[in-house]
Amino acid sequence: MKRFYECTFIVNPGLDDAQIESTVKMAQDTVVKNGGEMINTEHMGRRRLAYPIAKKHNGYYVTLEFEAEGRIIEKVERFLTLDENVMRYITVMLDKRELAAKRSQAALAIQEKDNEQAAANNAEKKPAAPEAAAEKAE
Amino acid sequence: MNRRGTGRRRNNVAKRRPDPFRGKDVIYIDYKESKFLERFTNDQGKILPRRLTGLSAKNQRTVVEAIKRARFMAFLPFVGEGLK
Repeated sequence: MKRFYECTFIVNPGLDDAQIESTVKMAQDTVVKNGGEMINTEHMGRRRLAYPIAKKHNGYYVTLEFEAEGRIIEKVERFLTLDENVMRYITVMLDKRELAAKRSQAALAIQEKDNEQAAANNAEKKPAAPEAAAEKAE
Repeated sequence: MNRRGTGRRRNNVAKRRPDPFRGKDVIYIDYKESKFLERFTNDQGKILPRRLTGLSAKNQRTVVEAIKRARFMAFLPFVGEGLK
């Protein structure tokens, strides 16, 4: 049974952007190769860590959202463990209700941003909708 | 159950706040929103008890889970500013 997972990991921020991108690409490939379906990749970018990890005070955060069978998590996490540039990772499963809540929260955040910018919010709401529809279709 | 008005307030302990999610069924709290989760920790980084957060038992569990995930991913400190 396919489920929705969200995997966040921290990449060594000392690398240049191309190297980070290749690590992310490889993680995505691991998901896809094992029969998962990438839904979204979010780069939170460089951020200060709340405490040092591996003697580093900053980290590059990336979140992968994908839909897959539970058994592939093992493989994705194995990749992340073996990659020396990945400092830490966490995978969280979201059930339908949690996913819907997350989506609506994201929509709210977007709305707030829009209110601040007083810009057209219709353009930003639309990208979220097809995803939600895809979830239901599955 | 009402502990207010008993006079002494302990040092630096925040007063009970109204449930921020009152009437809402909190389903998911994102562990990546560190700013938001900080409201449920004290300056040492400890998770505040229910009697101070004012959350329902169910909502408190959701928040606690999120804080623990956030700590692991270094969004929040295990040990806060106060003790370092």
